[in-house]
Amino acid sequence: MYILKASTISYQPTFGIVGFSDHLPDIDDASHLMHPDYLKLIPPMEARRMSDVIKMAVACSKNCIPEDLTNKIDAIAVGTALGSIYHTENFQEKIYESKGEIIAPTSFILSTHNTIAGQISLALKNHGYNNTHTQNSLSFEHALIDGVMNLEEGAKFVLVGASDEANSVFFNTKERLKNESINVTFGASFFLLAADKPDVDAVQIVNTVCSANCKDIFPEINEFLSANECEFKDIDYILYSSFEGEKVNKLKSLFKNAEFLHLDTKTGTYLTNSAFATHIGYDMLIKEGSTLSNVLILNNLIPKNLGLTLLKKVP
Amino acid sequence: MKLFITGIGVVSAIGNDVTESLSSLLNDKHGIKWSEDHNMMLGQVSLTNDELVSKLELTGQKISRTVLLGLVAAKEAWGNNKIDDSIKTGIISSTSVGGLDISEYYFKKYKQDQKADYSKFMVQENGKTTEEIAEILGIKGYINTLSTACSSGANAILLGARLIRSGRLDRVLVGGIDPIAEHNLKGFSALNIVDNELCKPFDLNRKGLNLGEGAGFLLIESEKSIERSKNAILCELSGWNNASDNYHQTASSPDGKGATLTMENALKVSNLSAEEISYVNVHGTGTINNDESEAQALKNVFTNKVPPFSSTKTFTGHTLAASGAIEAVFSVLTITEQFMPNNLRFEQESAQSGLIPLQQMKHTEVKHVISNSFGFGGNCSSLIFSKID
Amino acid sequence: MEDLKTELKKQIIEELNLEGMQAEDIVNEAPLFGDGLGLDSIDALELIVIMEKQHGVKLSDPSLGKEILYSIDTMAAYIEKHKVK
Repeated sequence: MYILKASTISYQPTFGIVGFSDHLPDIDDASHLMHPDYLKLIPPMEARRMSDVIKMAVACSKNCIPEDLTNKIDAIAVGTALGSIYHTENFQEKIYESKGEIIAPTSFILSTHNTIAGQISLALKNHGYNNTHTQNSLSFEHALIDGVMNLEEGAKFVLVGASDEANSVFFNTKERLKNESINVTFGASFFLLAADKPDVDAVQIVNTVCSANCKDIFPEINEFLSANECEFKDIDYILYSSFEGEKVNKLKSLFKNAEFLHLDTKTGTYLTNSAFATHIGYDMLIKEGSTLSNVLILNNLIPKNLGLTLLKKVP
Repeated sequence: MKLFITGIGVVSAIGNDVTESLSSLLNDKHGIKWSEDHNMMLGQVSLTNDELVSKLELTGQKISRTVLLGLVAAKEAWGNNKIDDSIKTGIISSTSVGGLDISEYYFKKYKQDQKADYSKFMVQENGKTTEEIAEILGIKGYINTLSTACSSGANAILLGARLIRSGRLDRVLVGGIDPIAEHNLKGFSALNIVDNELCKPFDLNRKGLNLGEGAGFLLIESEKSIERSKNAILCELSGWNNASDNYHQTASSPDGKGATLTMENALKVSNLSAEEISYVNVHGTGTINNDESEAQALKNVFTNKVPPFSSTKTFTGHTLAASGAIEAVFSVLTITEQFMPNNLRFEQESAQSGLIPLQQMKHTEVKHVISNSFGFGGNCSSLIFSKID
Repeated sequence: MEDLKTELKKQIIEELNLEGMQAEDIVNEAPLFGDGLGLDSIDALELIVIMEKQHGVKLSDPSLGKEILYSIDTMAAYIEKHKVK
């Protein structure tokens, strides 16, 4: 299964830029969401109601699907850890303020987790399969597995991605991850996947797995590599999200040939940042002059949840 | 590869397990009542959170009702199964509320005294509720949660089926859960689609839906898994599909496009023709819009031979994310017990569709059953269950 | 009545997130739904809330919604007629 195109809105200059992985400064206090002019991509009467999580997803989806494939998308699978949290909180505020009187329903309508996938479907006028996965840090990997399965079942093109928006009263990433020193960010990343290899250099999704309530990640990593006919030494680059020093040291001793990139410095940290990492991996493999062959995205943001995605360049 | 249902579990306004629920369905006993607390008709589970905690023998701080209801149904469906390393096992739950029932409680406290206790808000993640259920059952590895509003439970079931077919899993516990949460009560009221009396799906004078709560879980196994587990087969899961209506964020299309597509595609998966369907457990919420759209879809798929159908939401209310799973359990029961439940309170057919649902429970041959679930965002799902010989 | 119409337009722009629009941009007699301003059924529910919360006027018969919410003119007329003096 192949990635044809990808699109990310993030705290980095990524949107619509091929080769962005060469120019990723470190995230710092001045970093903020770098989004396109949404009104150029989404009609104003639709955009007016959308919170960030929806706008980013719709913009990225439109950006990664070429004109001639817009009505050829067989399935849409979205991952989101927190769903439509702005609208959820907004409606909660309205309930509190209304004190039993009439309440406007717009925020409620837009508060369901699958509003994101639903709005993408409406924007693309799509009648295909549509699903929303919400398994905290593994939301994107689950959506990716779902998308790949659709291709295995005969779909030609699928859209897969993840979107999450900022902290609110209801959620605090630092509290959730019990880590005060992280760079909290948010964003969306979407991918157009195809069953057939395009005629050019392509990036193949070799496999994605995820494992929750996982006590020891190392046997899982071993199993993943051997199941995909890959050895530790074959991996050129690892994008990882774990903050556990000992674990990371052990990883570095196993993957001797790999360069390591800690996501917090470049993507910042949010529950679905493995989607952005997957785009970085794709970009690194596909850009001109790239000497990389195998990139591993190792999502261990929540210590007992492991997500592994192996990308491979295929000439 | 054939897939089989070997376990079912359910809790709703009509019963705290499969036996009680079946008895209610056989005896036209619905569970929707006027709630003084919430000033509306509700299909509530008869157990309070404290009673659920006792029944489940749990300890610990405030636990989300989503986890509690889910555990009751999941444990019943899982039964005496054991974790076996030679059988790849997973769990897929689904919910729209997740831990929001707790978050909204603490949100009110926060508004009153301006102090936010984040550890309490944290349970809001839908995914976490599934992890807690998995932990108690001993399931690890593939743990997932879906959230597609009213089609969630059905989507969990069809995702599970596909995971087994793809070889990634051998068996999977799938289901949906939604507790009563003010977010939903106020939300549906604000949309003006709630009936202040008992709902009347497909009736000319229907005024809207009644909300409910509950959880439904099913265990799907492949033949390979059954060889190891030796579980008795209840029925076959023979078809499934998900398609998009693509009409509006909340309303269903007048021509029932999404519903039509999903039923037709589910039939293709099952290799059955429309004529072979014995009974349809419709989505049937009782809103003017939903029922009309579904009626049109039934006519599109079955032309002038629409099979007997009924909405069991007339018994339980609309249990939102749980509905697809609860109604799947009921659909399995129509096959194991060979009966069709009543569509309660029907008096007169709609002028537009003219379709007439079942007007009484009947014991009759049931071979193949379609169960429909349609959610916000135009998310339409259909499941087909079949009697094994 | 003119003040009411301007007030209504401002409330609609605010509550319906019609960013970048000014009261002057909304024509009093033009249809609010479909081909006119382009509002939809979700907006209709918001308009009903505006009438009740901001002007104290309840929509007594939902089936008359289409007529009453047709334009700024019809909304203002309904409010004038039914508001508690």
